[in-house]
Amino acid sequence: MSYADTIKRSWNEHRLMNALVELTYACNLDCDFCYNDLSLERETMLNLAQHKALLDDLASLSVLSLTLTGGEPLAHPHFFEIGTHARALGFVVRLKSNGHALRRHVAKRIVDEIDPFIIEVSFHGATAATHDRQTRVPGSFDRLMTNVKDMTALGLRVKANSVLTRWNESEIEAMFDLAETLGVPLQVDPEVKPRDDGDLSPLALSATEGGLSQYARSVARRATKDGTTLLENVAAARRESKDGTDKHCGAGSNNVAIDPFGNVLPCVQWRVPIGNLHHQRLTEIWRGSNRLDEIRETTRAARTMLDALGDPGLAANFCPGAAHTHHGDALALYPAAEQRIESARARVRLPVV
Amino acid sequence: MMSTPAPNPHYRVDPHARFRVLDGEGIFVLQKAGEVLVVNAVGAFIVERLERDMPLDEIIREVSRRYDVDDARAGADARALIDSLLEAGAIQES
Repeated sequence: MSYADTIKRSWNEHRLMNALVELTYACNLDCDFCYNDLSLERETMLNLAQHKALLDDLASLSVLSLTLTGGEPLAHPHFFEIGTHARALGFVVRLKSNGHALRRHVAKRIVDEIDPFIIEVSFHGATAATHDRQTRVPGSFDRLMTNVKDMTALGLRVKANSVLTRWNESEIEAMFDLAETLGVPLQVDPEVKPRDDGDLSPLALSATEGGLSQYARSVARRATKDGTTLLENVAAARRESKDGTDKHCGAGSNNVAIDPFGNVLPCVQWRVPIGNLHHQRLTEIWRGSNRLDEIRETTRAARTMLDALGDPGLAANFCPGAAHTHHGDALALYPAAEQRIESARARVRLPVV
Repeated sequence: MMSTPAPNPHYRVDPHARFRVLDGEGIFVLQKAGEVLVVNAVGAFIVERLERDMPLDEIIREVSRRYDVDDARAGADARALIDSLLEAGAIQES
């Protein structure tokens, strides 16, 4: 059986494989569109013993992949203790950081003590002016460049993540080129998301139509293979990834997220708590939550809804969690998904030359 | 020059690899190579025992009992698996 089959089976049989833990919402940058719900900071954070118990539970459930993120995960006072415990339990550890604190000596300590599979850093532009405008910390771009070079020199696998905005859309080609020069892959999310509390104000930074088109052209140029169009590739890949399962995604099936205050969520995007670690162990929540059943049923309904749209539905990159944040309804199409569906419909109407 | 293997060697999961048993199957993530390796239920049974520092001949006897095959067949299969896992960098001799 292939790994892809294993993943599909985990969706179907609700075998938890991936966990994402937001250690803290504290951060050393001040990004304009940060999606964290900072009003939650009034609540009680998980302590070190609770974090260790959580990791023990995840290991007992045979979870393979553990993402440590934030806020900025390195801002958590027990980051290294938690990371070291994760390593001892045999997780494939993924760190999602803004990269600002990852100086050479810190990166070296991470290699030695945590041995992560990958470190993902945030990349907001191809120039200091654009990147620093986003982070609102002067010098953050130059420091990130140095840190990425140092991390790759240490043998760390580094990936850059970016969100396409109207501030960086004109630099998208240069961002891909810069990432290539640094020797790291760049993944761009073309969609600015609402804050986790439903505040839509970050959407004012969304890329323009022209910026989205430029981004699509850049991606298509880099992704086109074997004479097939990008849409065909995306649709074919997504169809194959969902063949053999009746769900749209693994939220609440093989995937779970935990916020710094112990709220257990079906996915980092789907901010509907299914339990809280201050009251229950994760193993109890995973095995006994009625809300999880509702989440899983919703992912089936999302699949049915999108299948009815054909290839444009596959191209929608629909996220039930984003739909819930936008509309309070995990099955409601939200503007960015609608736009992608329309764009895909327009493309399939074009004659094939 | 390769060293001669101990007569009854012990193996362990490579420090840069990660191993989990999911629903009977074994999954290795080879962190340096960025690859995933899936082994079947018998493979997972063997690797779980390697992780417990069990010597190879004892593992072979357990495989033989558990899967009702003779020791020669169990030994050949176990050694073939171990050779392929060593070559992939999933395990190392301890």
